[in-house]
Amino acid sequence: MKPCDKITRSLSAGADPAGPELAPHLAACERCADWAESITALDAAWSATRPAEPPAQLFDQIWSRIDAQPTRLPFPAGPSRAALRRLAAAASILVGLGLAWLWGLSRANPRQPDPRTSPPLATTPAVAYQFEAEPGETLFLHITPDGRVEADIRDPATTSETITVAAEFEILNFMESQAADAL
Amino acid sequence: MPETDADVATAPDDDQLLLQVRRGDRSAREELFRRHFGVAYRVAHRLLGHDHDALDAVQDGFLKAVAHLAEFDRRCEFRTWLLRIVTNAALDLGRRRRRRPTLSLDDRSALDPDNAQPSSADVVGPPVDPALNLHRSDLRRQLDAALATLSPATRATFVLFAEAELSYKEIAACQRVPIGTVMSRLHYARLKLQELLKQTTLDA
Repeated sequence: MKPCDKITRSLSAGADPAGPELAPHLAACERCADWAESITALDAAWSATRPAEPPAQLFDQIWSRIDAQPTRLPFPAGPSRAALRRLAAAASILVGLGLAWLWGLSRANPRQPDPRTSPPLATTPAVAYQFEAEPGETLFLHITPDGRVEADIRDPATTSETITVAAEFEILNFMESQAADAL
Repeated sequence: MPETDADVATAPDDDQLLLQVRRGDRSAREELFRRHFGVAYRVAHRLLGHDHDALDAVQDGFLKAVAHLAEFDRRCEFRTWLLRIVTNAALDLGRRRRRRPTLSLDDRSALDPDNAQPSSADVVGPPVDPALNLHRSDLRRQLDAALATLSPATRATFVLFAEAELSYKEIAACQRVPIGTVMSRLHYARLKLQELLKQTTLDA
């Protein structure tokens, strides 16, 4: 990425144009300075058109309807349902991958392996995928023809659509967080 | 009545309120949602452009959040979790209904003849930029029209950033996308919005 692209993206993400990292570049680069100026103008327009705070009685109105609904208490006693769900999801993933691995092994070696020469199963490195799922979500695993594992997480509380979450997003988020913190 | 420093100092935070809710304190639950009502409403209003629709979206979102409060495991801030639900409720509502012309609470005289009062949209303060020579209501309409050209995901990302002031890390967690995706969406949203605002200036 070119330096100017990096600068404009940083500004778009809320970086301070007067900060020590950006100010010298903005002083020397007309294009980036223009971008910073247009961001300031947009932010000013956004602030000026901020919706009015809703009157308190509007909250009272909607809350009276919500409060009449039967509810469950948060954080039930005992092992949390979220933990149990995550454990179940992890177990099912491992079982599924184990079965797939055994199936692949049996396809590769249709004959019964010689126990004297084949490696014991316990020494075979385990493959595990970890998925972050909210409580209440349902995790669907799908193994594509080319062997990739895709996870679909459906969250009935927040959306009527299926959200596809690639496992690598968690790793990318972590790496980007570290990189952003290091800047 | 404005809050005093003592009120602020003694007000329980969201985590403390959630503990009280766990003990069955219904007033704590109400307070938990009341304190985030304003920002939830503003986010929904930005996404839908109409106060009645925004209220419907907030009500839908709050209903879902209350129903699933038992499953909130505090892996993110309660506010972030709640705004995620309200944002999705607003996007769902927006898909079901056609976007209506912008109407703010200041314009409620148009909705309710018994509540007739002068609209403040055109009279509060000076225009944000004299060069634009637009009144706030016109500016808001232009911004809403520009927002409507964005995809729902990009629109929601920008609104959560600009209106709810969530960090891009919080938005990434909220939308379950990489931080890089959030930054790209913010950049693209700004590009489009700024282009359209500039065009509006030229046309004016």
